[in-house]
Amino acid sequence: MKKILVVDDEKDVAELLQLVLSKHGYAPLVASSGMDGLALAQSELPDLVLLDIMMHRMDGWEALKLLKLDDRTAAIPVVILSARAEPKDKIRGLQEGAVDYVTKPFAVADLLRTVATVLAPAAQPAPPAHPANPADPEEGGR
Amino acid sequence: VRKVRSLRVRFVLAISALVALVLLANGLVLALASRDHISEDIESRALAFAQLAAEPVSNAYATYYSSGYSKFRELVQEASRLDPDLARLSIYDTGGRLLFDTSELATAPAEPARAAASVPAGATLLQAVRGMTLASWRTHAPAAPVAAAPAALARPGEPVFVVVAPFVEEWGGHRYSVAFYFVYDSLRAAAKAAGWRIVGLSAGSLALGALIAVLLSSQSVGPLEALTRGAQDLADGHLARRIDLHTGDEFGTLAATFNQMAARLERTVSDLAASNQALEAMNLELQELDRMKSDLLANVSHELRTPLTAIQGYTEAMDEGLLGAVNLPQRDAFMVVRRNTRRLLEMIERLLSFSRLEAGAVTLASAPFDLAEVALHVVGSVRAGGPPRLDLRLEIAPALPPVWGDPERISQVIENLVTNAVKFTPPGREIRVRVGRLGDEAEVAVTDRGIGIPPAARARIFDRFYQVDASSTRRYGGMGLGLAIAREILAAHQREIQVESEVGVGTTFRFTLPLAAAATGARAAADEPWAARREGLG
Repeated sequence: MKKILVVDDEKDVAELLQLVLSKHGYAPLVASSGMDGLALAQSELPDLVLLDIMMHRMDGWEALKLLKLDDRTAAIPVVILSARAEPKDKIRGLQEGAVDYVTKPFAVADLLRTVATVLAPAAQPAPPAHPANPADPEEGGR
Repeated sequence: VRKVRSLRVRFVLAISALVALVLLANGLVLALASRDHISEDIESRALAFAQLAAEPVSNAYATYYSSGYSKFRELVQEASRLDPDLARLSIYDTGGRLLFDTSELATAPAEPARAAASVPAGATLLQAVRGMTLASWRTHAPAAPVAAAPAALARPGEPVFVVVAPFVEEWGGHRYSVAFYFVYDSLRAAAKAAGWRIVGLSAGSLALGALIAVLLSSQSVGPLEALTRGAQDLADGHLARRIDLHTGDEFGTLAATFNQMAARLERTVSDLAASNQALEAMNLELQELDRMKSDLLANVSHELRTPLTAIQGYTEAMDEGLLGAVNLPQRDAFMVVRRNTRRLLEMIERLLSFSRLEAGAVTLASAPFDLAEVALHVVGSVRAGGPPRLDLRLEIAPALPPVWGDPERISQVIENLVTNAVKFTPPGREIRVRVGRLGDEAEVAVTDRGIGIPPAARARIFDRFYQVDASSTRRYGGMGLGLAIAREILAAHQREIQVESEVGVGTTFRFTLPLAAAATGARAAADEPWAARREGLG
């Protein structure tokens, strides 16, 4: 079972992810701050980190930087999961070493697809599993 | 500087000319006066000489003419030398017969020649020689020597002064009269000397005048130069400099006025600088406020999205049956929740994207793209998500070349126009999207058979949050941002939306975009080629 570390200080979202991931056959670990997430990542060495950005006690940027600086955790793929939708944040996330940037709110199915793609063995440099635009194309929006 | 110099030259020339003119007139008057004066001098001397010389000459004649001619001749010559102006001398008897004339002295060296004795004297002379008193008159030497008048010593036409003095013997007998002929030789020399004096004096005066002119012009040109320097300083931006000129005349007044003006200018400029500084500070403050606003928007967006994440995620999870079996009415309910969640999310998106557009924080990713494809995509997605009985048609002109613009933004414009049309068109009525070519441009027109826009509202429909009437928010929904966003995007493309509408009939929105070939052609012509290429790649 693949271990997925969820780092999010929004309890509802963290629990939702925990629920969805466990139902889909992953082993989720939950941390509610960047600091805890970093410690958990170093001790548990998960297969994937879903990292929120806006958090108290070390934000996602800092956590991401430290993860990439630590030899033990540097290779762990990190997917940023943030409500910050500014393009500059997305660019920054990818520059700092994240493999993908998913904006909240996300479609659960899309997130699962992203997770599966990142965790796929010998994953080819896959294109992002979903468009950067959070608005779904099949939706009229009236 | 050249002007100033020429002013000085003009001063000197004018004053010199004036002085020269005055001197000329003066000299002329002076010359004439001195001429008269000298001739009078000569004449009175001549009269005195004649009076004195008449007796010795007559005595000499009576004593030596016949007996000792050479002695007589010597005496006459001696007497003649006493006055350099004496040209000729004649002795007449009272009958008017010429007894002797100095011309004899030249021709008859030893013996008296009496040939001339028979020649009678002229009327004036005759009267004079008969008279007992001194007579004198002015005349001119005859044009040519006449036989009657013995060879004159004067040049023809020259003025001659004639004095006739009677010789009266001691006992009262009047036997001879002596006629003296004077020319004005010494006058000529004296006039010449006077002329030179006048010329010298004039030259001196002229030089003095020129000197005065130079001084005078310096006195006015100097202040002028000071004023010019002051004006130049002011022009160079040295507002604090003043002209130091206290001549007490008009120049001084001008300098004082100028200084007042400079002071006022300095004050105004410093006031301006101060208000500029204030404006700059205010601008910085506004920029800071703007940044805060933009941060606020990002934060608000974040804060709104986070709860939506949980709502949407849990609904989806429940819908998928992750929390137990779901029945059909529940599934419908989840659908409603999801739809409304998306709608809320979309509103947040719009608000945010409009704020970015309005702040000018958006840079276009312009490139050639297929407008027809974009329109097709937009119409497809609106159809899919639109209300039932939506009659949305798309007409595309064949073989439309690529246009120049930001395809994602233009897609948003078309979507906003179409959804706006859908919103205000009753179900079943036609909405038509046409993509066509218009010369060097492509045109998109969205026509509906909706409620139309009253003329008064037409100008304001592009204002953000504007709704034609207050009730329309409730009836038609939306925040009134769609058209505002469309306008901002097109403004970034240097384009405008045209609107034609008739209440109850329908509305057409249209806009144009340049064809890529024309746009890049124009760019290449205007810019350097590499710059155009770079922009094309960006």
